[in-house]
Amino acid sequence: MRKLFTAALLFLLAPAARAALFINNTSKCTVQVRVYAHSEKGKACELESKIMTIPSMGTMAFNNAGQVAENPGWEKGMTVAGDPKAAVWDALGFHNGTSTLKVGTGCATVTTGVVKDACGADLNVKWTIAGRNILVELYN
Amino acid sequence: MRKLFIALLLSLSAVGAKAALFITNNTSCIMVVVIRAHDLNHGICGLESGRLQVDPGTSAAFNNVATINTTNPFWINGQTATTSGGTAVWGWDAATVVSLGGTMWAEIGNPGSCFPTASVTTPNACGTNSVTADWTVMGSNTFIDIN
Repeated sequence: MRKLFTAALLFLLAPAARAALFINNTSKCTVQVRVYAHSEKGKACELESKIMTIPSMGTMAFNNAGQVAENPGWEKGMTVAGDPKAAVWDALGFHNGTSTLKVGTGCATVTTGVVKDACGADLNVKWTIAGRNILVELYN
Repeated sequence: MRKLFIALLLSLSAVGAKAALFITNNTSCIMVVVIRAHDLNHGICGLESGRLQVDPGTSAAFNNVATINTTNPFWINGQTATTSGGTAVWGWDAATVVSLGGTMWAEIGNPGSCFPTASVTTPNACGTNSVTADWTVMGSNTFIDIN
């Protein structure tokens, strides 16, 4: 409830904000992840990125969904339709071989979760709205 | 007041936060950012980075002060940062944001740092557009937003 309230306040604070997506890995393990987004007039999670590899204590920064095309690229020749800055971040997906976790909005039903990382430890995943930006924190 | 309240809520909910620095340039001009920080061996603003070019519509992220030991823009004067002692000992303090070839010279940062102003707006900084550089701490992460 408090989170919803915060999100609502933030939304009021920045109605026209176009969010950057930041991923911060403070876990002890390399993490592989896909990002999901949609074009301005598209459907949630219609865009799926290729796998990104984020080392321990590493970060990823995307000003807008258009930058995903450069690195790591979209799957199956997908592209953002219209203004890349108007595209919307939906979710981050983790797959460790046995289970899948998606955090975010759109096609994700949770904003936090835990998945076993490649080092065998519990990896906490937390999707938050931080002002104009979206921050996903990965930590043990 | 509302911002304070939001910051408070975010800090309460950000258990896993670990003090990264995130920079976003939403303007159509090239921005250059110089970062100031502190650690066990350097006082407030004692660490000074080289010039980080942030292109229009791009973002940059740094996990911790030691990240800049090995990645662009590096610390100048041969400085090396350490994360020993944890986030109680090291932290991001301030930044200078200038528009490449323009008139903007915004100095932003934490209260009590070398640049204690959180938000600076410069008229005609990007063509005829004014540009605002904001320094915001949310949870234990710091955001520089250039809009």
